[in-house]
Amino acid sequence: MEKFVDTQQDHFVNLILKLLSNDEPLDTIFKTLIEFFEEQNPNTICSILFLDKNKKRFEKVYAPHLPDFYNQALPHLDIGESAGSCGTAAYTGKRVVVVDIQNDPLWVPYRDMAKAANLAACWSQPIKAQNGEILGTFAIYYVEPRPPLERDIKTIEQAAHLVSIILKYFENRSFAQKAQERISLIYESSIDAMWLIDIEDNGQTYRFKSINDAFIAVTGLTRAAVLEKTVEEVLPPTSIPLVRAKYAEAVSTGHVVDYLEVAPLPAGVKVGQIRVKPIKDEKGVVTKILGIAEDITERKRIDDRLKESEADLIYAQHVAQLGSWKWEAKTDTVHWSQEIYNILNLDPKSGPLRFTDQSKLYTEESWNRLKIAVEEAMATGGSYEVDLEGRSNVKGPRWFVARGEVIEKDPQGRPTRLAGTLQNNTERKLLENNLKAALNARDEFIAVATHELKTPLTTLQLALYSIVKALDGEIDKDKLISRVEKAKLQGDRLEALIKNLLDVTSIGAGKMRLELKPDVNLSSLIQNIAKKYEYDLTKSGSSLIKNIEPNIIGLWDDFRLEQVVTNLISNAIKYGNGKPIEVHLRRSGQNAILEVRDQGIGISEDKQKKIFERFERAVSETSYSGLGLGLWIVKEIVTAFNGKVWVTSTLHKGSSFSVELPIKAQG
Amino acid sequence: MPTSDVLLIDDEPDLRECIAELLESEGYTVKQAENGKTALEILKSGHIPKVIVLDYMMPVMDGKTFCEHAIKDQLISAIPIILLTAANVPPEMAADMKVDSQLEKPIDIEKFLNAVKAYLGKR
Repeated sequence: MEKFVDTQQDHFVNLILKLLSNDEPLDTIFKTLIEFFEEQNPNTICSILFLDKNKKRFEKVYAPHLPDFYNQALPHLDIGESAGSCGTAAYTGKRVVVVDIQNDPLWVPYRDMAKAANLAACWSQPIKAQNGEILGTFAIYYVEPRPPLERDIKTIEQAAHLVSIILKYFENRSFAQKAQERISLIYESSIDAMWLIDIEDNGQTYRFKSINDAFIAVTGLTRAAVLEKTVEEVLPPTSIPLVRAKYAEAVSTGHVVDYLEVAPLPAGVKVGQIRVKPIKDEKGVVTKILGIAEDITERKRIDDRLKESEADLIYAQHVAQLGSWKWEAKTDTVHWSQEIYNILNLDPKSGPLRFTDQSKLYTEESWNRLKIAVEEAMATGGSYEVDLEGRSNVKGPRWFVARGEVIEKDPQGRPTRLAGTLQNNTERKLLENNLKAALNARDEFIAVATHELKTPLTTLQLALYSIVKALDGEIDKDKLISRVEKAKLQGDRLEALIKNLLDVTSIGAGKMRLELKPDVNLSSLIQNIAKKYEYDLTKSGSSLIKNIEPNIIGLWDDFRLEQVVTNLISNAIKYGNGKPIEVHLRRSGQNAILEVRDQGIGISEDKQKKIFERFERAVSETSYSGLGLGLWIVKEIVTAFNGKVWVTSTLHKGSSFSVELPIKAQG
Repeated sequence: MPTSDVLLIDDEPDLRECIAELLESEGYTVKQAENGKTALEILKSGHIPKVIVLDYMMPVMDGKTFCEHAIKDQLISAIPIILLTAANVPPEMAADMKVDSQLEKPIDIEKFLNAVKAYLGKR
């Protein structure tokens, strides 16, 4: 440009600059340029021609003072090595000076056209871009043949250069405009809220300078409420410390800062994923901040709900002790939920077991049933439910219920995915087993009870029969009395049996109540019971050795104590094998110790633990009659007295039952 | 040793006495045993009754075990057995025991006496 800065052309340069700054179109600028040159050089006509994209022909023509026919013909002529002044200059890239058109070989095809337009000389200078690309030509025509002076050459060179600069300027301006338009488009059409902040007072004040439509939509704030306002005036107070800290970080580091912000806004409580970018001025000082916020409120809500329902599922599986699994047939990939590891007592870190490896978890019998069920489901596309027993050497639950079904098939109908559950069934199984055992015990008890009742009943029946018969015939009084006594004895036995049965029912229902009386003499109570058993002892052949400390008196329930002693002595007679029986009673501190020993069949070690349970007997039921209730009743009563009962015994050598009773029983 | 008409095997002494008394009042001679083992000893000593009245549940040796032994002995297996039981003995088990008749306690006295009479009449 400095080439133009001389006294003559100052005015022109200022004019062009004014046109450019006024955003005047190219046409106006080139027209002004041409008029200026024509004014400066009288009797001249100037033209500016631009090449088409293919660089074959001229496409645009700026030549306001050339005749119309001439202008209209120009775009149809090819450029080339001898195509007039402009055509040749545009083709060769070199200035072409034609002094006399009518006598110049370059103009041979166009001489007539030039003559008609009254053109005699033509000097043409190529217009080149910065990279050397030929864009067009600047030319000066004369009506008479004329060679250029040095000054004229300089003029057309400068003119071509100026056109090139103007073009470049326009190109840059249009690029900048397009970029600006693009940025505005992004800014305005973005669904993310965007804003521009000015930093004022050395970073003391952050002021909103611009916001996009999304900002308004997301926050529910109006433009008036935001623009030219400080962050303190716009954002809720709870957000200010975070926002100031993040803005300050972006300013001090010069880097992008990301953060999450939850803010109560007019549009509701919003969760935003925010990014702020510091913007530097030409001196490298951060003067602005560009903010972008993605509204993740909904995503966060869905995320939270998903997490919550996942947690619910894990919790539900844990409570139900029910884990879920999936199996991909193609890859033999197994997926287990956390609960399956818990149920199987396996470490989740070691991952799920492949189906075939699961054989080690269950008993052979269970594993075989599972395998068959799975194969059947695979073959039919159906489902299965299998009870499984775990291996006894594996820790943790022992019983499981496995359920599964085919959930996906390939186009040929072959199963590709199976899914199902594994549930810990141990507690229910144990309960079931206990229930079965209890039912068996009850049935057995009923059978035994029936038998026990029938025996004295039969004896009673026969005794009464013989009494009736005796009364019919001659009456031997002594015999009659003995029979009546026998009948009465059977009645007593029946009564005792029934009492025991009722006790079982009431104690079992937790209804045993002690009726404590002071001064119950346990010593004499035992002596009296021993007397009652004289008859039974004689029958069995056993003798009774008593070693009873007199006058052991306590706060007891005498009826219940009688039951304890009676049961122990009758057991000793029953299982005593006719050998001597010993009863010992002594005081030991605040306790009375009762011991009943026999030398009978004894009790094996494994049975010793069970004999105090209800309906349990140490002997087979076909060998020894009895309800299997005696010792259970003893234990319940002694426990109610806060005492203890235990047994020491050797098989085939005899048993010794000991009872320790606090002298002051607490009812 | 004089042979009795009836060998009565029952562990309940009172009941055993009552049954014995009943049979004796009908004019039969009765030998008593308190379990299967004692009974076998009596039989093996050459005491062969005309009928055996057998209880099922007994200590030392129960009725079932007694029958298992009795079947093996040609002489004893020929003696008819009346099983007298308070327990529910399933029919197939009674068949295994090869008892000739089975009566439940409490006893239908008339039926019982008829049964004894029938077997004694056979001889």
